[in-house]
Amino acid sequence: MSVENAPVVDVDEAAIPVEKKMYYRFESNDKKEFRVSELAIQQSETLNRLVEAMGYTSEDVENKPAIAIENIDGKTLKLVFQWCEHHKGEAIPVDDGSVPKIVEIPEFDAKLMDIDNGLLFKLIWAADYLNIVQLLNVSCKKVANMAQGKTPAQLRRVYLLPSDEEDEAAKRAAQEAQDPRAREVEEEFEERKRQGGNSFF
Amino acid sequence: MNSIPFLRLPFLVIQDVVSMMCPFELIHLAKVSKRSKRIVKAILDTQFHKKYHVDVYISEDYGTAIKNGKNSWYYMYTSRRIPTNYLLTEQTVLGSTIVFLQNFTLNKLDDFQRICDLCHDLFGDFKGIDINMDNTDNQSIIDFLRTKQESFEDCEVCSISERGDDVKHFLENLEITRNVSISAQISEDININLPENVENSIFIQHSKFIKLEQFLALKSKQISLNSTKFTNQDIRSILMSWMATESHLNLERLRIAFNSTSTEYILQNIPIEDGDEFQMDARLVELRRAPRGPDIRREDGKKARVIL
Repeated sequence: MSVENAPVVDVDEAAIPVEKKMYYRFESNDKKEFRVSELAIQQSETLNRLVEAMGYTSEDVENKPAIAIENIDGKTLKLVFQWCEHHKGEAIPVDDGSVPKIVEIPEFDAKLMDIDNGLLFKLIWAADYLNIVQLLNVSCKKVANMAQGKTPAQLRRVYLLPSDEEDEAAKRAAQEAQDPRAREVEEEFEERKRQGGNSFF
Repeated sequence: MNSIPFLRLPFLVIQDVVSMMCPFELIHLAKVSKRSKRIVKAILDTQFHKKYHVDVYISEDYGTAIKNGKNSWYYMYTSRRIPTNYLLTEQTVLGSTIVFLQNFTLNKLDDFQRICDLCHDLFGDFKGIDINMDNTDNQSIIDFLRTKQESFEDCEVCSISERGDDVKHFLENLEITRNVSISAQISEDININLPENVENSIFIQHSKFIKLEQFLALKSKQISLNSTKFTNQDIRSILMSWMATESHLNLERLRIAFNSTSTEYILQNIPIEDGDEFQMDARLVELRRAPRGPDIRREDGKKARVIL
């Protein structure tokens, strides 16, 4: 798809190339295109390495196809690049080893992440895949905050955690899927038990 | 309720999320299922290795205190009526935050044992015990703790009512290796075996039950005994024993409170040297500077200031 036909999303006014500022074009898996400044890309270790390896000039950026990010959709990628543009030039945080790990969510990030949990889930996956340390920190913090003041029963619902029984059932189902004969043997065993048999064999 | 499929996140992300949770949230997450407990434990064992330690904490309520060196999270069970089943209170003192979570229960001993089991599994051996013995479950608590581990580093034992038998049961069943602090009421006629090999410090508030021979067997660096029934002669024997390197070889500081109308006899015919005032170790809070006074010398040359 050419640049003209692609649904270009200008993530941020500051991201629009002015003068000699370098920018790159990226395309989501649903063919949405984004222009992102070089400085913003530095927040993502994955993308930063990628563009460094490609060695594109400004002309290359215009003439060659946008760089495809195949496992992230446009809605998610828009959030990612909005975050990167807002935080461009900031130092990548280093874990200071404190427990619990201390992370503050800035106001901009809080507003950016004021989204449904389905999209938050995708945003976390994207931040992890693109290795954007601070975006991963704040999005993980948002998930960790969901546990605040919750009882175990409430946590089970918030994090959709299966109970022991559900885990056991899933494990059995997985085993049976591997070995269909196991289910038949179990049913036969149950049937013999019902009939009062002492021994299976 | 707004939910997110936690277990479908990448494991390193789960690790990040868990690393941002406070100990209460870690405990609640571990309580959800065997699988969630395995995840919390795996992360604690790797990322948080030795960064938390847990003390047993018994007051009117029973529970555990999870500490990271600066902050403390008390996970408690109470049988007192509280406004909600879970009550969270937080206070900050000198930059350290102390958070209490009180859970209402009709059987705090059972729930205490369960939370001890869980904390022991998650965080490893308990470090210390802080126990107020003004309750009726002391012996059950001690017997239970003995099933978890026989040795603890520190203890703080207190009571307002007389609890000599419980203190005796405590010291006979649990070994304390570094610091002992006992301010429980103990009658003087009870026979309690004191732990002799406490490495760092021993403090006992009501010490009338302690006999001279027991005292001479102690090997701690710091010993502080209040309201003893030692006599001038006992104190003299203690000093002479130290000078002859017969006892207290590791002693750095000794404080004994005893009744005496005149202490002149204590140093009679004991060789002393006049010593200058000196700065004491800042950790020994009660007395920052030792006043000018008599020094006694041990056979190996070590000197001690005697302050009567």
